Amino acid sequence: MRPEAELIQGIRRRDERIFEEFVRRYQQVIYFTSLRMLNTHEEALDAAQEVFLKIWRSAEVPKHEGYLKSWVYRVTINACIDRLRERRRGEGTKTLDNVIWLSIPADGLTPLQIAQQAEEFTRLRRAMDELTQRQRSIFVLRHFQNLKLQEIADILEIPIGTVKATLHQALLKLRALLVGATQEAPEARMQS
Amino acid sequence: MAYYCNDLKDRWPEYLYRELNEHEQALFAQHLRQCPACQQEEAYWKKLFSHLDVLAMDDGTDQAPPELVYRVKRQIHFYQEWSRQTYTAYRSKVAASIAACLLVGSVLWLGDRSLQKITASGPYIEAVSQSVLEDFYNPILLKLYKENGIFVSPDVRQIRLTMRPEGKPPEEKPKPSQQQTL
Repeated sequence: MRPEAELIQGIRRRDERIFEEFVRRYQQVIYFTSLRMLNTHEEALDAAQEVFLKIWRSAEVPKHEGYLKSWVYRVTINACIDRLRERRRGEGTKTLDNVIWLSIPADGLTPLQIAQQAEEFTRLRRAMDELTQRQRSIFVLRHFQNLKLQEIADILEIPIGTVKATLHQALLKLRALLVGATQEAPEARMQS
Repeated sequence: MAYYCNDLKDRWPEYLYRELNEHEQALFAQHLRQCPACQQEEAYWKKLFSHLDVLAMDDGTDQAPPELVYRVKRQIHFYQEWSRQTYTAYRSKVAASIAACLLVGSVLWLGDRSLQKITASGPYIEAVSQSVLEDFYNPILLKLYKENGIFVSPDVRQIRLTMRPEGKPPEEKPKPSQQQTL
């Protein structure tokens, strides 16, 4: 595996072999970030492809070592935000209405429990769709890419306080949406 | 000071991310131990976080689709092909533009030279062909007439330039009498 500096140099001079290595190394990061942001496999694949092509065309990667991954995240998040904007603007809005998300069920669950769990995941996905673009970006980077708040702040070039506040807003919103979806009223329960 | 349910309401994310300071975290935990409603709320948050953890496991796979690398390589190939073609077309256009500029420049230069020649030499001068002069016909005529008093009479194929003698007004041809015309 080539060191990052060599990878950066290779991308800058558009070396096809080095770029292929870059694609193989960062495809997971880019694809799964796009998938979490956009929610559909096809769009995530298109977005990932677009990100790689954009990097190839511009060949403008950070000059110094240690910034490549953050920069890749930033490019990916921006590409996904653009797509989300287009999606909201466009007529062919994709929804998850007919999509059932199945995750690997825990052992020993009955078919009913598996179905309930699938329903919960679907509700969660729908609730995530309701987040604003910034909330979604931060939420995806924190929960699905497992990045620290400071790393997210560096990637999105915003203060860490903003990251923290936005993440909290996102979680509270998710919570409220999920509660609304299940017709629960925790506020009523919480009056003690 | 003890925490109440309303104190906890908006601070769950901070508690779950362990971003509260030690004192606050302890007060939070203390309230949780005493309050069944908040215990239920904690259970709900933990369930949400565990669901998110399951989703983070990428629906059973942690590999990007294998076609992604192929698709990127194909796109890059198309892009290179397209840029090569665009570059070739661009190069031809640039070459054509340069040639056109040279042609126009040389015509202007020749035109300028012939003007100098006209003013310097005799009264009758064969000028460049009409096709070349078409675009510059009027300004040249105007310049010739205003500055040098040269009268230009265009021919079908060629332009004949007539220069009047220095200091004398252009000779006017006698008008044919009405009878002659008739």
